[in-house]
Amino acid sequence: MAPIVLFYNKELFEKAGVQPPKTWDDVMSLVKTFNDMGVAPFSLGGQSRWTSMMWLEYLLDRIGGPEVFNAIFEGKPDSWLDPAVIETGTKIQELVSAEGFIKGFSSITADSNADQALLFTGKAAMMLHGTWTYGGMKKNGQNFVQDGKLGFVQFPTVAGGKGDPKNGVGNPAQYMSISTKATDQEKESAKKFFKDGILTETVIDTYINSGSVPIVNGIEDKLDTSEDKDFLNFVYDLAKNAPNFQQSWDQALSPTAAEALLNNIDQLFLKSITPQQFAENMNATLGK
Amino acid sequence: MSNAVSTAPRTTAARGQSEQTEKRKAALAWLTVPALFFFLVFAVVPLAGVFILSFADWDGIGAIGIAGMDNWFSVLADPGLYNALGLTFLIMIASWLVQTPISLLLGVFTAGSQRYRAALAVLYFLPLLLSSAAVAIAFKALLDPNFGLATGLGLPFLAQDWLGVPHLALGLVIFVIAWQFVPFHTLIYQGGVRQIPKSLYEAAEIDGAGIIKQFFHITLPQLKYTIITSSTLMVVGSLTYFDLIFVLTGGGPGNSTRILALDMYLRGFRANLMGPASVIAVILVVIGLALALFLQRLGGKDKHGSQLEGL
Repeated sequence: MAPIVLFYNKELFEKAGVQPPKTWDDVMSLVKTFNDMGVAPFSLGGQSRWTSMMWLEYLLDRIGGPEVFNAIFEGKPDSWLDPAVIETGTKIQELVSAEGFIKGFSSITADSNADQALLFTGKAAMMLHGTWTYGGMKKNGQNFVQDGKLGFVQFPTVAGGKGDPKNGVGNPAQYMSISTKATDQEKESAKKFFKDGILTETVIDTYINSGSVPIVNGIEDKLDTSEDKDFLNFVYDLAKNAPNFQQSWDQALSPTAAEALLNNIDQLFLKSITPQQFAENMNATLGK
Repeated sequence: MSNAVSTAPRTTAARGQSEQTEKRKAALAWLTVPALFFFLVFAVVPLAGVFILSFADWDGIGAIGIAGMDNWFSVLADPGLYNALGLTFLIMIASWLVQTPISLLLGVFTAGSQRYRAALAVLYFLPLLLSSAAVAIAFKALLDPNFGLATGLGLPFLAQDWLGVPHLALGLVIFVIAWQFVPFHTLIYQGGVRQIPKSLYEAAEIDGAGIIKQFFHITLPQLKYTIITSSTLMVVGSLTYFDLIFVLTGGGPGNSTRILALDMYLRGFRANLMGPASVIAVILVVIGLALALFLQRLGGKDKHGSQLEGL
C-alpha cells in the first residue's frame, strides 16, 4: 500500500510551538506562521505535475466525498462541473496565493527528490507525498528519519466537507492489477500468482525493510519488529481502516484524460486558469 | 556526381567518348539504388503511413478505426495548435538570431591557425558531444532554486523560478538550445572561413583595409553559402527540437514551451491520440519542406556559379 500522507518536520513544528494541521483552517494559519518564521510551509515538486495532483485528490475527497470522483471515473455527464471540484480549485489557488508552497515550486522536480530534500533540510515545514518517499528520506536525510524528526499525519479535514477523514488516496496495490477483461478463472489464477508467486516471504521482508507496506493482511507482527514500526503501522492502519481508498487519478483515468488533467492542474497551480475553467476543460475530456 | 560527369563532354569531344559517358552514367545510376532504397523505406513509407494515420482513429495499441476528417477538424479548431505553432516559430527565430552571430564570430575566431585557438576550439566543441537529455537534466539540476548553482556559488540572482515563469522558461529553452548547438555551427563556419583564399586578404591589406573592413567585405560575402547552409540546418532543425525541451520543461509551465514537435509527442504517446498526432506530423513535414525550399531560393539562381571568379 502506498497512500499519500502529510509529512512534517517535527523540529520546525516544535520551534514554532504548533501542532500538525487537523483542518483546512489549521493549514491556512500554519502557512502564515511558517512564512513569518521564514520557512516555506509546504514543499512541492510542482514541475512533475502529478505531485500537485495529490493535493486535488485529497481536497476533492474531503470536500465532496468519494462520490464526486467516482462519477468522473464512470464518465457521467458534467461530473467535473460538480461544485466540489470548483471549491477544490478555489482552495488550491488560495493556498498558492497565500504562498503556501515554497517559492519557485514550479521549477522543482520530484525526479531529483529535491522536494524531499527541502523537508529534511528544514527549508520547508510540510510535504504532501506518497509513503514511497519514506525510504529515500531515511537514506538521504542524514539521520533525519532515524532521529525521529519526521512526523506524519492524515490529510486534514475541510469544514462542511462530506468526505470521511479516514479516506485515503494513492496507489493501492503496488501497481499490480488484473485486467477487467479476464475470465473469472483467469482472475483466480492471477490472484493466486500475486499471493504465492510474487508476495513471498522474501518479498514481504524486502518491502518492510525498505520502509514500505506490502499489500498483505495480517502482517502486524512483522511490522512491529521493524525499526520503522511507527511509520509502517501508521500506513498499514490508514490503508486497513480507510472506508474509501482512491487510486491516483492519472492512473485511474484514460491516458487521454490523464494527460489533459496534468496539463490543466499545472495551469491551475500557476493561476493561469480559474477553477471554473479547470472544471470546464476537464469536463470536455469525459468519455475520451 | 552528375555534375562532374556532365562537364566532361564540354570540350569538343569525339563521339566515342560521349557514348562512353552514357554507359558510365547508366552504371552510376545503379549506385544510387541503395540510397534510394533507404530513402524509400525510412522516409517515404513512414511519411505515407503518417498521412494515412491522420485520417484514422487509433490509440497506438488497439484496432485502427476510420476517423475521416475528424482529426483534422479537431486539431485545426484547437487553440493549442496555434499556441504550439507560434512558439515553434518564436523559438526558431530567436534561436537563429542568437546562434548565428555567435557561431559566425566563433567560427572566424577558431579558423585562425594560432595554437591557443585550436585548443579553445576543442573546448567549444564539447557541448556537442553530450546527449540532449543529459544536457537538460544537468541544467535542471543547476537551476534548481534551492539546491542549484545559486546556492552553490552564492549568486542569489540565479535563484529564479526558471521553469515556473513562462517567459523565463522560454528564454531558458532558447539559451540551452544555443549552448548545445552553437558548437556545431561554429564548426561549419570554421570550415567555411578556412576555404576563403588567403590572396583576398593579402590584396585587401595592400589596399589598406582593416580587420573589420576585411570581415564585412571579404569574410561575410564569401560565407554566403555557408550562412545559408547553417541557417537551413538551424531553421529546419528547430522544428525537431524535442528531446531537450521534453526533459527540461515538459512543455510547461502550462503550455508555454509546448512547441509543435513536443505537442505531437504528448498527443500521440501520452494521450494515446495517434490520429491527431499524425495530423500535427503532417503539418510539421509541410512546414519543414516549405522552409527548406524557401531557404534554398535565398541562395539565388546562380547557386552553382563560382564565388571565386577571377582568382
